Amino acid sequence: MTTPRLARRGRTALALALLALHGPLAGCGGLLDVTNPNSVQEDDLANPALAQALVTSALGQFECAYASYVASTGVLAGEYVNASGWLDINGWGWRGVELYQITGGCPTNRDATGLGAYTPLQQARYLAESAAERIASYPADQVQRRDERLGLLAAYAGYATLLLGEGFCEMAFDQGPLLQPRAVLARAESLFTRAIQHAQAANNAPLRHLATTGRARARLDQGNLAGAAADAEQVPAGFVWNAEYSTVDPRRENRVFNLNRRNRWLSVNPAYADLTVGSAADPRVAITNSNQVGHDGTTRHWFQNKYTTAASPIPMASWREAQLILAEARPAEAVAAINRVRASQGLAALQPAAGDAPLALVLEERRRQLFSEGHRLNDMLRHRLPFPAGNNHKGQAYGPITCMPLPDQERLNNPNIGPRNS
Amino acid sequence: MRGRSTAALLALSVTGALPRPGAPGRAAAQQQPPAATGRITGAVTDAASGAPIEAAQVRVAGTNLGTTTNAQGRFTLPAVPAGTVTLVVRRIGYAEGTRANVAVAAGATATADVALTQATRTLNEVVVTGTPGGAQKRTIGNAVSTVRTDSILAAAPVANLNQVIGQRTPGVMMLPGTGQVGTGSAIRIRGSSSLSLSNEPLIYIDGVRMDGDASRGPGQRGGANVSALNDIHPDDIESLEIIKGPAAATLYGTEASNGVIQIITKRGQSGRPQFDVSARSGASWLWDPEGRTGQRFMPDPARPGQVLGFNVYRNEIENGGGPIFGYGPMQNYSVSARGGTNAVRYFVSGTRNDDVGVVAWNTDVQNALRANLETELSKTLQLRIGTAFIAGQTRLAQGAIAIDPFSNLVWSNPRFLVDGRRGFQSAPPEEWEKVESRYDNDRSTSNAELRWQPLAWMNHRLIAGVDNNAEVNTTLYPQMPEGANHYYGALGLGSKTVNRGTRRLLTLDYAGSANLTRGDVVLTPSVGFQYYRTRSTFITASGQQFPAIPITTVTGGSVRDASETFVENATAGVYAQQQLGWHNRRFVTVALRADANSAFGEDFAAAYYPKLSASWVLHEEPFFRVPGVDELRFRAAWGAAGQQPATFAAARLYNPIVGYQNQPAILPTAFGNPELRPERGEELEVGFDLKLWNRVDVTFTRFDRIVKDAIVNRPLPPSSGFAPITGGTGVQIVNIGRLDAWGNELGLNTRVLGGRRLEWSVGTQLSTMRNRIRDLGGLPFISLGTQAQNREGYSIADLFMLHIRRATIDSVGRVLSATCDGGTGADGLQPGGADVPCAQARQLFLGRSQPTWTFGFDNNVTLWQRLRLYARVEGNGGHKQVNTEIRATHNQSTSEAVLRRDNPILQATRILENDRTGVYEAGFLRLREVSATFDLAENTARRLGVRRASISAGMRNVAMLWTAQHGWSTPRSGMVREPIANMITWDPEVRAVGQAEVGYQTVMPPTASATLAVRLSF
Repeated sequence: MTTPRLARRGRTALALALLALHGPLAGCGGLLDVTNPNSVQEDDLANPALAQALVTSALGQFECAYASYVASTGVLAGEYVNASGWLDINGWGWRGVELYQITGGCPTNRDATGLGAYTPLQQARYLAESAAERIASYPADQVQRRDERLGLLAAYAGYATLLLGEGFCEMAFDQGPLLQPRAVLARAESLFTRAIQHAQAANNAPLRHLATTGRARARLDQGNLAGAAADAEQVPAGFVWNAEYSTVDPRRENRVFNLNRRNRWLSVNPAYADLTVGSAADPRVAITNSNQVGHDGTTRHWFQNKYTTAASPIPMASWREAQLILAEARPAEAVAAINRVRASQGLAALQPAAGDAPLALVLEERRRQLFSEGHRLNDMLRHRLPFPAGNNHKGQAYGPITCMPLPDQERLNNPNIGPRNS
Repeated sequence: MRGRSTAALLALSVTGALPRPGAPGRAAAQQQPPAATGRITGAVTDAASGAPIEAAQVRVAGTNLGTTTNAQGRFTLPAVPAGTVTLVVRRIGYAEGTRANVAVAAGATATADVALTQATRTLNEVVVTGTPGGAQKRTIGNAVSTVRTDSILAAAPVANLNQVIGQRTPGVMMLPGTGQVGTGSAIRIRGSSSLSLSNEPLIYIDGVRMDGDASRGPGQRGGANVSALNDIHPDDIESLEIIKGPAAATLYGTEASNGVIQIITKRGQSGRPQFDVSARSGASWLWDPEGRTGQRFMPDPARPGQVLGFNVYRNEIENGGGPIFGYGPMQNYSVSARGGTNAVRYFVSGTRNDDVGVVAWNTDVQNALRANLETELSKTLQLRIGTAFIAGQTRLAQGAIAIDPFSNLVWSNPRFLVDGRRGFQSAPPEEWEKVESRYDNDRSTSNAELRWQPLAWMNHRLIAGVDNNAEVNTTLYPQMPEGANHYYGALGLGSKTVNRGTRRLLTLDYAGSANLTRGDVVLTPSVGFQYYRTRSTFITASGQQFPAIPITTVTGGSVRDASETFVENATAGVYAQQQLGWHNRRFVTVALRADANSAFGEDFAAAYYPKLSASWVLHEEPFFRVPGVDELRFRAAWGAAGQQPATFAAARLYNPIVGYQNQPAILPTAFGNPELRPERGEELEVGFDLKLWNRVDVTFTRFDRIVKDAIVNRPLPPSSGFAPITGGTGVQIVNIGRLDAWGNELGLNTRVLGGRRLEWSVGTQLSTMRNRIRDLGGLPFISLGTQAQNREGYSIADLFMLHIRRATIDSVGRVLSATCDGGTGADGLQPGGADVPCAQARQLFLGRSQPTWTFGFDNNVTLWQRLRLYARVEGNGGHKQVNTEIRATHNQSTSEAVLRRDNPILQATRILENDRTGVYEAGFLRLREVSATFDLAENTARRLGVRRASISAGMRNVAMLWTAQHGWSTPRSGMVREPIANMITWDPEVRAVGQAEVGYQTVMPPTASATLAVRLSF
């Protein structure tokens, strides 16, 4: 028989136990606090001191995307051929329907095998545009070189948009509706115009030339030859603006170098071998037979000599490109413009034969001068140059792809666009 | 992170109307200080054979006095209060025994022997998992499976804990890793039930949460890396308890939706020290590697239109090279001692494992020490402490395609015969071993458990512990004399990556319960609080391009980089439970748990998980008189548990990168979701436990589960600007899904014969598991790569592909036309529709990628109580697998069918649905284990100076018996051929380890092994 004292003691003990549980729970908030030194949260970006980081983020992302774009379109356009056994490069080599599944990326290691630039270009565009919005919202007195930064962001957003318009069959922005290339190029043009305005306000000539060259290119793509020529002739001789690369981080490396020279996964198309200008080898497309086979063990490997290290820059815009835009926009001045470009490099002048069409001369000059700079695919698309048919060097049948398709990941997950077969 | 809001506590006990605490008579025994004491000695024996029973628990009913029997089955209980007492004796595998009216005189010794009757299971067995402090099985409404490790080790040739668990419990499936030593398997309990989060159960060891992941160490082909679970040596384990779903895991809260496995290590026992020594050695190998390698082809340069084939495995042997795969020696040694007094008991052990894989540089060495100590600090206070230290060194061989023996075999190419590779895909065999891929770890697990019983009817238990694993993962490509001209390309210049860090899991667990009796009613209220904190910190450094061959440090690289990761997570939860027992055969339990976690979104405070269960031990009802039925219990449980999202999944995050001009920059990576809350699984399980004629043991459980607020990684279109740093598809983590899961679990164990000369028992485990996605929040489907989708109305990761019916080709194999199944059914995605051109066809349902049934069968025969013969068949099925190495073989033009270009279906499939070329039926039944064990007679053993001795020979993965692809005529090696181009898959059991586990490539198949083991007890 339990004594009353024990019964009371038992109930008291039980009640005390229940009450004791409230102690740790009342202070539960602290127990659940965790730190995250890996990341920055959205709210932290309201600090104007982050303005430079926002700029370097956007520009750096574009540079990474640009290298992937140059490599990927280079394979599609026949500047490079697949010399690897990797499945995710095969599709580019035969222009297969696998490209609908590829969004691309900026790899963080030198041995990444995938190609494609859709996602990194979209990220670069988004970063540049959102950074510009954010910087514009900061108090003006708390952001140094405001116009210069806004100009850079607009210019790089313009280039990202330009490449999306040139290389892809269709496009969308910010989960918006489907756009055709002409609308995309018009958007790029407006971004370049904004960049020019900021560059003028900042009195930054190189930035202005970058944006002007970009706008000339966008206008040329849209068929606005007069506007393209007007912009192109404003670019001074010797101007070059490069996308820069570095070996400090694999993500910052020149991917074209890694793919072609370091890993032997891509070979320069042998069709570029032995090109001459005058009677001499054309130094603009100097390629070398490595006397090895590529990663696939069968494809003879040729490497380019334009990007000789992982830190080699890739030109984004240059006077030479502007001159070739001028040549295309004003066919009567094409040969003169071409020869100005040649003369700047000590190359023999072009002496066209009677009946040589100016456009054909310009396109051939662009093929060489702008080799492996991300222009060739666009040239083939806008002038409807023929893509190879039949089987490629590996015996793989070429598929129907010419322009890069809008990836299914965009179609399927963008509420404003439907799937391909819907 | 901001602090979390306080979780709520619900107390279910009613104050002021509590029954009287304590059982009748129990309090009296506690209250009166003993005036005098005596002793009780005796023996516990097997009622049938008279053999002594070792390690039986003997307790004086109504007191804390207890002990365990020694090797001779004898026990001594000192300081028993004078008077008449009842002894209660328990031993796993036997029904509980009692000896009443034992008269103890002051200063004298009473003798009381107890005979126990064998029983395959017992309802009075105490389980600790899912209960606050332990409870008898009879009182629990959900199924709790107990795995006795020693009984498995005594018969089955198992090498690690993954293999001990295996598929021996209905509903539990071990998805195999690679055939490499050191690697492990993923565990699935009741299949998969999360679309995006982990499907792995929680693992505890002695009440402390531990890391049991199967993906540690440097990345390997197929994702099957080193298993953290296999750090625990089976010889140290007393038992495993498995609870399977939300109905049972409520008390574990917001991370337990996939079930819980509790590892209970061995404890000391009072009595003279007992020493156990075991040694096991053997070898592993791959069945028929030459046959399974098959042929690879190239165009015959001498005969246009013809092809040349070769088998690289055979070719290497014929040209003086070794066989690629050999016999990998395995060794395991274990020494343990246990003993003590009634006041202090100990268990200590040391183990060593030294295995070599089928390639000589795949090695796994592990040394471990463990010590468990129990002491009675006072009559009411007991302390248990345990600690273990494990040091492991594992070297792996499948870190990359170029260095992987299996990849080099599968993708061999006769075109490569001329360039030094001798036909292998990337490099000749002597180069593979030069690259090192290592996992080294120093791990310690420690726990302290304090049990306080201030009153006879009140218990408190406090557990604190930590699992700390320091890892070093290293990948080294030494500089080769050929430099960048080496087979490994630029890696031939040298490269080293070191990833070093620590994973720590901290546990704090309090449970308090009371036992309140009033007549035939027993109320057991319980409350508890649990806190878990995990932290993972890693630093990775790499250096590339060494200046000279001897240099192999990161500093030696001329190009270096580094990165760091840091992840923390914390969970706090409280619960209250009330159990009502009536006549000790009808039980009802209600409980409620509340959890808060650091990963919950800002707008979500806490998760609440209720539970209701009932158990009715029907055969103990006075009215129950069914001949042959020894035990019958019905049980039912309904409960909820959760699964939390990843830490910081709710936040919009930007991660650091190196930006323009190498300046600091950030990149948007996580889209964020402030409303993010945990997945919630609600499950109803019903079942029964039945024992017939004391021979047949049947357990059956049916479960139905609903997962609400299923977390879905909703893909973001890249135009949103958010994506992982390396590219691909960004996601927003949202709670938009609902998933149903259901299944049946049947366990049938039969003691067919039980004589002294012949004992024969068989066991069967059969389970089915299905799931269906009910709601994807408006998304039509979520693509999982090119092969599988999560789609409403279908199961997780079902396969959807074009169904090509016919195709026509020209003389060179170009596809001229392709006709597909246009689909039928309400959604148009079921096969069986009209013909349509494939360009207009949709991808139709092809099959499930996750098993829908598992099966196991054990056969045990014991002759003259000395020779035990054991065999086990195991398998699963109902699904298909996608072997993408077949697709890659076609792509590199080394399959005969691709070269001949005369198979229209293949030609069309490769253009339209390339992954379809590697799809096969994945169901299988395998003769998993066989063994013969001889136990020395006791007098023979004593002459040898030991108390007990046994020797065992066994084999594992002996032969494939049946495959869904080929039926009973399947090759015994396990090889299956896919139907389109007759290409080989080495083993249908192979699968990738990962979340969706869809599609795999060059995963080394399971190996066979033979072992010889000797076990001695002193």
